[in-house]
Amino acid sequence: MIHVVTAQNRHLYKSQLWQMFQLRKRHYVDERGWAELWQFGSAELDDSDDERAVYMMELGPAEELLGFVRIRPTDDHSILVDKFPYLIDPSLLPLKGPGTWEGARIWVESGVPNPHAAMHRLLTACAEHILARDGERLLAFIDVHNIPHLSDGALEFTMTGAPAPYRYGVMAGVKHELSEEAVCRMRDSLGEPPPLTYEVEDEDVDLHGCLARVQREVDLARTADLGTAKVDFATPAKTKARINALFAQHDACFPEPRARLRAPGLRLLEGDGGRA
Amino acid sequence: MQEPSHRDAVDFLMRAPEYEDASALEHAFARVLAGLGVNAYSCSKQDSRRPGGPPVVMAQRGLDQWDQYMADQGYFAVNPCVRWTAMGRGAFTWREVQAELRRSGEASEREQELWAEAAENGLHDGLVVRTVAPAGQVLSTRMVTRAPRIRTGDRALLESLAIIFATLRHRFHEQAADSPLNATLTRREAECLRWAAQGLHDYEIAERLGISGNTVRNHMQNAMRKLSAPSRLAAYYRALSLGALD
Repeated sequence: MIHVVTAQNRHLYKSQLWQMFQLRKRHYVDERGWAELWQFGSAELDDSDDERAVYMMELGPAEELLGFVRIRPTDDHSILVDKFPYLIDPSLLPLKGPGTWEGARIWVESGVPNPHAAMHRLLTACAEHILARDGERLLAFIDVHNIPHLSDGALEFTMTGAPAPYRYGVMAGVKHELSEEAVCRMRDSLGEPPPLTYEVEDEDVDLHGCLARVQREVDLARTADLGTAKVDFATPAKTKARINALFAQHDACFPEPRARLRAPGLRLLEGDGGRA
Repeated sequence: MQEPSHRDAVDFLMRAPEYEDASALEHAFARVLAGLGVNAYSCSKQDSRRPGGPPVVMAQRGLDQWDQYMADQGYFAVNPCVRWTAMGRGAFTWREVQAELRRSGEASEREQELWAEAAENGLHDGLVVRTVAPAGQVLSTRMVTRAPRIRTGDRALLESLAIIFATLRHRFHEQAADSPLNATLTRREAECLRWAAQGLHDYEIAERLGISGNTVRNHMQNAMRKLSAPSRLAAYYRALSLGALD
């Protein structure tokens, strides 16, 4: 599950957000030397970290940050279009506007088993979120040496124009035209069932106690084979209903428990096979 | 206003993922490079799982003879570009390497011979771009010009071209490795399959091809193994459908 952190649920992610801003400073400023970025002590923030910014976060079992990326609609401003217009071919203008979102500041913990897949889980989550809001395009500006890591057969970024040298290498604008088919391909290539994202609300945390438990519940609900998992059937119906509603959007549902796994002592919900 | 050669290069960068096969991609890449004054290139990959092994050349144009000569002369062992690539330098020109070695006083006689011979062969300057594929393979693209030097104004464009080309060319290379078509049949294997599909026995095929029956059986088994086919007929139809008998 990838957590969708918006202005509505940011208060639930105080420590993760603070950790994210610190990691951004460490990664972009300290390691890569981008001294021009706005720094506030040990954190890095810019004018796009406003109330319209959406952060996709992957958390570990102890709620630790494993990866993040920021996306934001571009109908008011875009870093690529407004600050680096020379990276855009005139034939593509106006590139920003309703339906176009911009991604920036992607980071993945280097110790995760497959950092490339982790990065693509975040990008797939972005695509899923943007498509659900009738978006159609994702923009980004990146160092060209990162293009091989950003693009693969399922998710193809194309350059928006001529690249330009900057102090630390060569920078380029890239765009990806989103589609449901592309997102399905991306999920298939990652082996992830839909939906990948979940926006945690206050009620979820009230009911389950912490983000880690909410994440566990959602991951269980997304797991194809529930029979082998220890299912907490005390999961409140309200959360299940929300997960089911999400599944319904993606034409998916809770799998039926397998008869052969009905071991004595395992409580199974009757009648609806687990649906709330 | 962009120069026409730059316009072509930007078009390539914006449309590169649309190329459907490796040859179309290579052709377009070579044309764009020629517009920027680059006469030869080579794109290779070093498997991260076998760092000591020889690099696999994925695409090459105009550098094969020079590379063969370098190998014959043992120049690869002293080539500082190879060292710099192994050290993880992202992109550098030959001029930069030479200047750095002169400054540090580390240039050996053999290295100077190498540069002199390259110049004698009309290879005056080159840009080497190293990038890393998601699975860790090191992709290295060399672009060489007959002009006195790589133009500074073209450097960012060439670097981007090399990265995009290497990424896509590597993808085609991996796809080809995964494809059953990679199990290319030898001429003899294809001939044996064709005759077998017409109902000929091994001894009849052996007679027609002037080889022994055992050799025919070996060819058949190799073809079936390459095509993962359970029978000779299945191998024939599989080869036919994959175009391996064309």
